[in-house]
Amino acid sequence: MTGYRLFVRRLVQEWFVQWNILRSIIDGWILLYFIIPAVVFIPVIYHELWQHVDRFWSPQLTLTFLLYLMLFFCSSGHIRTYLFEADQVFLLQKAHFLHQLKRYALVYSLLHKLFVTTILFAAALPILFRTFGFQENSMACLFIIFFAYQMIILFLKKYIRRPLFQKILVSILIVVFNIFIVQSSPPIYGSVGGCIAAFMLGLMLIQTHSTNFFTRELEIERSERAKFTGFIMNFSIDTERTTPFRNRKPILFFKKSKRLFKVRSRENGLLELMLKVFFRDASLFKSYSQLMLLTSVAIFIVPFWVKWLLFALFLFFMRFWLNVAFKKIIDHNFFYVVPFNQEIGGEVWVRFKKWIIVPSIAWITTILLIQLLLKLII
Amino acid sequence: MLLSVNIQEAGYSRQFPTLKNLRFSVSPGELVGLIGPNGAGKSTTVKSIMGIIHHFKGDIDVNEYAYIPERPIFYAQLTLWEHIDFLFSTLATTDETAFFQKAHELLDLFNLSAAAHSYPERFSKGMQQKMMLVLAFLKQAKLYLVDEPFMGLDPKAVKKLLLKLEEEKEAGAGILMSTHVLDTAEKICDRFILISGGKLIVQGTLNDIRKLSHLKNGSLLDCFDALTEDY
Repeated sequence: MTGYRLFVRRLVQEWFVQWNILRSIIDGWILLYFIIPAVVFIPVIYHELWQHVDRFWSPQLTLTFLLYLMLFFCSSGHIRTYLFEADQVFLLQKAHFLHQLKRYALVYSLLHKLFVTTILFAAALPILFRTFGFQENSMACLFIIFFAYQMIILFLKKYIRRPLFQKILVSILIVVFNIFIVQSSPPIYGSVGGCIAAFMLGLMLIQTHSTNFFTRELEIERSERAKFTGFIMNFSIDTERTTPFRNRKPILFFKKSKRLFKVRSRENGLLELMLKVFFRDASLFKSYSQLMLLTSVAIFIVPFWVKWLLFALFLFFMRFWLNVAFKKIIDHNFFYVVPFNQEIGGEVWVRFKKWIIVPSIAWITTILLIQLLLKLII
Repeated sequence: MLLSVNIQEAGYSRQFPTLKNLRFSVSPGELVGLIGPNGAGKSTTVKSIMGIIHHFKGDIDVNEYAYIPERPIFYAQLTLWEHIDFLFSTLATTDETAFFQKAHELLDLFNLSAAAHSYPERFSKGMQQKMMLVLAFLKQAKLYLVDEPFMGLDPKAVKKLLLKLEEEKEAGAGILMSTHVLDTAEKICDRFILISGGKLIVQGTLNDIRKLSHLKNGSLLDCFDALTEDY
């Protein structure tokens, strides 16, 4: 066995796992109503984008705005290592194997990033070319500086564990790179990008020799493997959440474990537990915010009569999703240690639903009313 | 009687039951050790008592109990103190001051006071196990179901746990403790239930076990070894 064969075996194994997960959710209906229409319409829309770029990209939107969007979409991902927990027992002492495995995994991670960046550039190409007058050479320079940006992000994400610090770093780098690209000429940012990329590659290769970040690498692997299933798991009651919870203490609310309700009762106790878990669970809160934001954006875009239909759909889906989230929280094994009276479950569900749904309804209604007012004024 | 167990069959499937014909009981003021080799069915027995086993035939008569699991179970998004707060909301007691006074005492005893407002997911394994002990002792139940309690605990914490178990026993609580740590079990348990291969091998005091294993002065480990050598 060589490091290369081990890498290939693990890579293929992961592809199979991901494919099986995908197959488990793609049934005939999804294929018929989502995938086939997407395959047909995406080339048509792309062709339309080349022909009439003004219909899709307002001339008032600046290059800076486009670069912000592109840099933002490039900021995800990690350097993969394809390590497993069991490697602590079997592989850690075989430094040569481990180094080979990590080196191939690094090359694969970078090729994967290159592929994703190419797709992003292909999507933005008509706008860059037609609206902002980019030519082949300047496009290549932009591609290089983008790749350099991604290499910095990938490298630093290995050393910065806390998601909040990662987000701050990404925001700063997006602003810095954007200013640099807009303020300088393509040959300059192209050559600077080339130098940065070469330097970062050197650092990454050196890092493949080290085992000092073994625990962090395992953590990244766990989250990367679970990433694809994360969305599905959000809608499954039977699946345990595998994404690690990172904070040591509450960051914003109830730092000293303060209570939500002054009056102590069985119902308030259970509801408090449900609400705290809901708002502190990153994946649940993220889905909740995304659902509200996407609906808000959609409500702004769609014709007036569709807005109300969308609002009704939002309410229906929010209730369904919340029910799944509630069941997932309440089915936790902790209740074997501290059981609660099952009779109060119904009342707590009603109150939990109100606490979560009412603010979202208020938010969407405000958006709708603002639009209505704007329509009346204009 | 705080616990009366009569398991005809129990396990994860009807075709392959893990436990067969197991009868025992736990009385007030008694610490009973549930011992047996790996895969003997100790955890399945505890789960059967809790009523969470998939396939079960028999009768269990159980009082309200406090459960200390083999592996710590908690909400990653709640602090240690929030778990304690929730526990209070589930209990019949209304004496808030006495409950939280006891909570502080237990946190001090197990050196967890400084971590009270932290998430237990970031604790060490030992600290997480101590948290389970605090939650169980705070419940002040008449019966304790304790599944491998020494895992991950440092010697000081083990000593404190044993003292607490002794205290509860003297206060009239019954304790069923499943464990592998036979030398400790030998010192603290009043009776033993030895199971192997899902069946009851012997139950009784150390002397009863010595008689059956024909080891007059043998330790619990020697007797255990002699009685389970076929398994």
